[in-house]
Amino acid sequence: MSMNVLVIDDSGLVRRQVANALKGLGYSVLEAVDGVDALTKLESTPDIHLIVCDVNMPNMNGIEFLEKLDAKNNGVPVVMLTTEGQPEMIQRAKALGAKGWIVKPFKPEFLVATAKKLAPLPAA
Amino acid sequence: MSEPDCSLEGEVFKLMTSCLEDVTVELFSAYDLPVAPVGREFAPHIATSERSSVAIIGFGGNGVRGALLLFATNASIERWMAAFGAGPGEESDTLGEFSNMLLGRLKGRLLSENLTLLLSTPTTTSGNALQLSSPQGQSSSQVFAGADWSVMTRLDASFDSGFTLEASHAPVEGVAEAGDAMLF
Repeated sequence: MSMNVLVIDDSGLVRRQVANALKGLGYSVLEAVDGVDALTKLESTPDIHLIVCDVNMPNMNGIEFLEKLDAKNNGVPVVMLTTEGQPEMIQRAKALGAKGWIVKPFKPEFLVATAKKLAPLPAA
Repeated sequence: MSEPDCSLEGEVFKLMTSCLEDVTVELFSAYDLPVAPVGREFAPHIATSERSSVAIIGFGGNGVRGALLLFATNASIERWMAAFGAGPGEESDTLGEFSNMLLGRLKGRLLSENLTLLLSTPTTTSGNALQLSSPQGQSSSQVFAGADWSVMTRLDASFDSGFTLEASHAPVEGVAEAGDAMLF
């Protein structure tokens, strides 16, 4: 079974960095450019096992996305990947159901460890 | 020679520009791209007749608003792109993401100074002979030189009359720094 990761970021570069870090390990990576796009992709691709989400994005930011997703009850773990490090914002995301917070520029090994923890790959 | 600005706004702006200089050096170093501040005028590597890009990202806070501009020739940006994992044609995205990370780091630094900023998302443009508009309010430019490339930051800020810093809380703890990762 493939583990599917949805990465949400308005920067194509960051989406590719995330994809490069995870694809080699066996994760399939789907991309969305903002929260609105992500909700659409989630409707058409329900089999998502992990979401990696930016905070500052046009149209719908990462905090609004957590609210719309109802991340607390949704069952799909969400990790925020952002330039923001404000404690109040981290607490807000946590209260809305986010499972982790990574500050850019990120170390790929931290992202990999987070993915393996929250969406473990099936044993080969 | 102009008188030094000893107002609170002047002092806060000086702090902002000092922190911006620090975080710029730190951010590029994080990508193994050492840079050093070299002056307030364009470095020799920056000739505005060359194809260039600028990223602009706004910010606002209690009694303060402004923008961070990041300006470089596309030839300079191409030097960073390999370190950033970017490919051909991604100069604007690279510059925009760098501006986003710079302002995010600056925001984190200023939190502990009782100044909280909210950030917009970056806008970028590219072209030949780009000319930046004259700043309103306070403004400071700084050129940084790498091995064979340059980048310029410009910080613009306007302060409301009666601007004050937020009431001093206990020292801000728990501000996540670049590269930090936490699970809840």
